[in-house]
Amino acid sequence: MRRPVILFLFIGSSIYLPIASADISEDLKTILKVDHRAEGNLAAQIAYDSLSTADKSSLPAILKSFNEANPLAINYLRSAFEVIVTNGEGKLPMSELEIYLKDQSNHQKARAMVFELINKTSPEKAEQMLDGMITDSSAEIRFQAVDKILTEADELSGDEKKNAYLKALKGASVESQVTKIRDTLKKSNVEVDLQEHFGLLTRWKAIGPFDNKDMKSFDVVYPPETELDFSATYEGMEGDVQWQTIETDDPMGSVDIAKSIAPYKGAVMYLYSEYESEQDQDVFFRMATANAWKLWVNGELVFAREEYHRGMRWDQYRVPVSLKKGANKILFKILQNEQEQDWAQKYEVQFRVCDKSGQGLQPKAPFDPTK
Amino acid sequence: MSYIRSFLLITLTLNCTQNLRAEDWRQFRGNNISGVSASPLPDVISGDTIKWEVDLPGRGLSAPIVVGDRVYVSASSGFDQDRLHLLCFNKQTGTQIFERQFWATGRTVSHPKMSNATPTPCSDGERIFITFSSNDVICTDLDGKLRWFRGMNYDYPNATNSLGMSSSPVVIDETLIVQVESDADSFAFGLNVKDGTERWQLERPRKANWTSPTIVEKPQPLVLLQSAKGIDAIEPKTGKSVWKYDSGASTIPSSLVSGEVVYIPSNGITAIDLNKPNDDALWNVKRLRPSTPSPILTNGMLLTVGSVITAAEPDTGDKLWEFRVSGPFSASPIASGKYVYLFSENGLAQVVEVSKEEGKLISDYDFGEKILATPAASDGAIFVRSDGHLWKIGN
Repeated sequence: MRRPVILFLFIGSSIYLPIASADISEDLKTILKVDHRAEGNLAAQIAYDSLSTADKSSLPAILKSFNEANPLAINYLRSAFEVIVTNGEGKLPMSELEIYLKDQSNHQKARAMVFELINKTSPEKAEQMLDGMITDSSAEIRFQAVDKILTEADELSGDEKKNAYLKALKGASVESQVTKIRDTLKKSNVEVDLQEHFGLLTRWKAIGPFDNKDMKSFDVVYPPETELDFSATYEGMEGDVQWQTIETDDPMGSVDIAKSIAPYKGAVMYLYSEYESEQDQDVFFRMATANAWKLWVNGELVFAREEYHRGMRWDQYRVPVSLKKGANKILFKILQNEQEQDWAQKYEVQFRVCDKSGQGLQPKAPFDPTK
Repeated sequence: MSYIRSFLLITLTLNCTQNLRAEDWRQFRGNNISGVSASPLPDVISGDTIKWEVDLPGRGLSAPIVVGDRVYVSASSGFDQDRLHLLCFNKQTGTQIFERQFWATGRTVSHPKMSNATPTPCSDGERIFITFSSNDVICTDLDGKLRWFRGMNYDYPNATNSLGMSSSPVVIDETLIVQVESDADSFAFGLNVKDGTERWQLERPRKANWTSPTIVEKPQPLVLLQSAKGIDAIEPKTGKSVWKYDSGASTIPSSLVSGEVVYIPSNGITAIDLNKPNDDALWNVKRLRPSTPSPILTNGMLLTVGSVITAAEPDTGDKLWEFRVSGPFSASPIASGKYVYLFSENGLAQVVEVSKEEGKLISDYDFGEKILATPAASDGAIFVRSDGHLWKIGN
């Protein structure tokens, strides 16, 4: 437990009380222990109170602790950081904060928070920094860098405008920005391959339909869940079924079973694809579907979701996945119910592979579903 | 913990404690979740009655709440709606007292009309509890000091709704009641206000649910959890079920408790005597079906809002009149005596005078911005927010 060096106590006041800090490491350790189901909350509350009274020289240490923090702990740290920036004694250690920001291996959200602080204290400096942040590892910073280019490009024309948009495309990962860039570049006869840019998986094998009448088959194990034999024939809902190929040329990568195969109702379909990874790596599968689904990667169930027709939105689901070097087997069970409303007829999925900031990742080689 | 730190903590806690006031508006639809103001509100809304306007940094369908001389409001921002805001303003002047920001730990996806800041915060007079569609539950003191943070989606990854979550929490008996209900995992939680630990957790019907819990004070303190299956009346501190109504209920407008009767959006409106909840309903009227706004009872009339206001006798459900208003509405109405205040999605404020004979529009004002949030009322003023602004309306 750290020892306060200076204490200002104003009885009757409810403002934060500055305490110059010698050592905040115990407070940080305590906060880093918060976890699921309120574990460590009470201790973190006390540590947060203590940490919030530290002076501004403590900010770099708080930032470093973000790198070890879970999504709950970063909120305690952020809040303490804010309080110290507002009420803490001393001067903001701007050079140290900038060093933290420049190291892209640091916590992305904490870096974005630091950038915002710089933007508040030195807007012109932040503006200049953005020019070199178009491929930053932080999605939030990159979004601002792309936005700056697009805003400035509004004043340009011809090749200058086109080149500015091509530059912005390198950093753009947010759908609204990418589609704006695509639409603008199209006027300059430049086609943007959205499937490739977003890392969409567009080539699959498919098999089904299997029975899902009355939505009873979410947990029914059909043969593709126990064996991947692409030459096999199984008994399906409407007769024998075999694996077939399904590919999409939809720019946004929608694999539409209803349109490409049949608008089955009360059905289960399985989709299979492979992702050739150049290395062992942690990625995110970002998906959108209005149908219930289960996802296996290399034979392991990674997530399951039994929700029908609550909308289909870009990046609706984000599932963290560890890929191994080489071919990774992706099996997707997608279930349709029997709702009759016109808004409940979607039977499709968008499926992309990206890094944790949302940048699309390309496989080493595309999957060929015909083999 | 050192002596000095303990003393400091106790002192600050005492400083933050404020007496509860009738003029507080501590949760969605006010202290008793009736939507009725304790004091008269202006009968005219115009540019002249707007006392102040402040900018908000993010979107929100959440209502403002009022504790003492402060107005609190939540918002969410960012291209992913993952930036969570709590803002606090001086009630008299609109001066911002503080802003706190957090990051969502759960899913932020929602229908475009909704936003992450859809549930309304609540307060027990000492703490502010802020929840979001991402199922993040944040507790601060009245000065914005973080007390605890729960990520219910972080704990229960499948308790989400792709259209967004909107249930606003209530706090009673040192327990924060949070409904996290969806087609997939579905729960209700009673969280200890001091640290967010679970006093109880209930499995709930697996069906998307946007309603908010309602508090019953008599004959015993209960919380009514509404769902597609009906109502489950529970003890706040234990979660123990006391009675059930199982004839189904809406998953959008919430129930209204007035006196010893609960008016449930169920097959229209169904009235239940809280002294005899297991007996047959007092009455049921299908034609009183509310749309998104929750029902309200004022000036001796039960009112539901759709494309028209429908007035009914609270004792019988007999229809008195209908009055066409300019919708559509996401916000629930608030009222003061004979005046009912409606804010349409198009930003049109309408003051309707209601009597047993008729409803009559006496004032309207176009705010020029989309308004989806239910207003709050305190000390004769109305507080309403859009995605971009918070306004105080008063005489």
